[in-house]
Amino acid sequence: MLETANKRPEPELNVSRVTTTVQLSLQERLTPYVAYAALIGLIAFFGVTAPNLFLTANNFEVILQNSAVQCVVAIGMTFVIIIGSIDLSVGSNMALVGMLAAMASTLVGGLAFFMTPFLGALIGLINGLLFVYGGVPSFVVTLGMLSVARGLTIIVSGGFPVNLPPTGLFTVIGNAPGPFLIVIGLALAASFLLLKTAFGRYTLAVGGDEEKARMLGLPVDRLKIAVFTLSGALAGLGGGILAAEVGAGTPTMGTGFELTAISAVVIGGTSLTGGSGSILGTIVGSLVMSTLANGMIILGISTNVQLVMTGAVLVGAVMLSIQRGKLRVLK
Amino acid sequence: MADAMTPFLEIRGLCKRFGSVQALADVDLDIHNGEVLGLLGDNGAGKSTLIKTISGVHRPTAGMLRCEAKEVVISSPSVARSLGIETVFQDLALIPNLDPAANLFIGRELSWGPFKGLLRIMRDKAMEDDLRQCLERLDIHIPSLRMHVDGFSGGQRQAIAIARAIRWKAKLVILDEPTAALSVPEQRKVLSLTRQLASEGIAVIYITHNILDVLAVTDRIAILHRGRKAAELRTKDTTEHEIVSLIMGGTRKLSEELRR
Repeated sequence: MLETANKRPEPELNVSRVTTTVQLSLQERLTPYVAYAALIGLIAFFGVTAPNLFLTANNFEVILQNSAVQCVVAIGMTFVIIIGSIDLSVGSNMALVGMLAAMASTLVGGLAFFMTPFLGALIGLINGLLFVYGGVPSFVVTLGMLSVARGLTIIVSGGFPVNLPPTGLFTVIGNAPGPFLIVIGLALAASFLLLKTAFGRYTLAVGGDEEKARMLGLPVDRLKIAVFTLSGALAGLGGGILAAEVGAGTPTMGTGFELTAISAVVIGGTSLTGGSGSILGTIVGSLVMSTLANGMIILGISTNVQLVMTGAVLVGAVMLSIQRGKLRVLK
Repeated sequence: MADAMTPFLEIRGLCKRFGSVQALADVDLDIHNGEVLGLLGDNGAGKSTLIKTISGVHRPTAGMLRCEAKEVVISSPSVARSLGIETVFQDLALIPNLDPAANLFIGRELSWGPFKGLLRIMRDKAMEDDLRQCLERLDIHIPSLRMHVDGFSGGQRQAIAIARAIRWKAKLVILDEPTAALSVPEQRKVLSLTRQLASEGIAVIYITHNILDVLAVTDRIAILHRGRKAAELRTKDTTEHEIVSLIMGGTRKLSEELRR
């Protein structure tokens, strides 16, 4: 089920009346595997340099915990990138939804958690409508929403954190295996969505050639709005889980999550130009980012160097995985 | 009331203006079932505008379209499709990153269960079997059913697009430069598929610059020149030389037997 969408095995040579030989370039064949290689490479590296701290069951549990929220957000981002757009508002979305859920939890307790995907979806819907009907590029719409949602978070909270109840649903979700199970469930559902539904197929079609998709009568506008709504919903859900892990909604939570989410998706092999993507790839990409962060902390690498390394891994992975043939103009 | 003699599509007084450019001026044309109409003209003559208007991409500035004897307004590609008009544009309207079965069924996928719209669950195996049958019937060979279509040759992509038109019982298929950039065996395959379309009772508009194609595959020819219909003749009544001079000179010449 968790297979890469549209990356089927190489076709056999068929000598018939009209023959074609398809040579997949080395890059094309490597693309989904760069993430796996990076992950194995990192585990090997940290395993050698800090075996006592890194190679423990407890540490792997920490890595999985930390990557869970990122996975949730990155799964939503995968769909957005497949259609060739970008969603920069996810971090602020997480903060606003997490904060609102925390505030609501003072009234309805654990039930507030169930609000989170819907609140997030509303934010995503606004993004989608402005993008499609307002004619504003997704980069700009979501950049604006990044500011707006963050500002609203600070306004409603007065700049202070809001604690979640010390017991109840939020504590269950905030601790292992809560986030891990949510990610597994989401990953399966998202893979099914991408590979087996009209939504997934049209997402790939719009990403592959939007103009033709429109000419063929596909509901392109509706699809784009749905994709942004989904991304928002998952960001909101991620905000709820993050708040549960921290035990509170805070005004600064989620900052920078959009960049790590995009990195995870891209390292996982989804092309920035759109038209192909893999949920499994995104999850492995998330694990790469989390493993890298975890290992660097264990090695006591300073936060500044951490930033450099994170950027270097991202650029390196993209350099290896980008399908240059398809990218005629590099922007 | 539509009968056997009624043209599938009647175009009357069609005009299309883009700003100050008159792309089509007062074009009258009938498109008949089971007939291949060659549409010729130099670049800028209006061929592309005409077919885009018929297929719902453009709205005419003036004029009337009648489909199966009923007046219609073709306001979008979906409306055109619902009337049975399928276009196989030069860039083929195949989604490059999907496989042939996905392309065959694009927008009309077979699905499981009660879900509608975007939530439909794909019946991939059934669609693949259907594709296999279509290809067998038309004697089309492709190397793999699971490869993205951008990995296929031009002729194979053309064949899949034509197979799609036949599969969905298109009533009018518009082929835009279908043999451009194809190898000789692939060109011949496309020409034979074009005649196959006509023999299935489908109306075909065949746009080309290739006069040999025109003589080989069309029943009638319409020549556009600067947005107007310069000439309309039966293929067997004309010669290569005459066709070329009509395209270039655009002098009016209408065969008496084609006048209504």
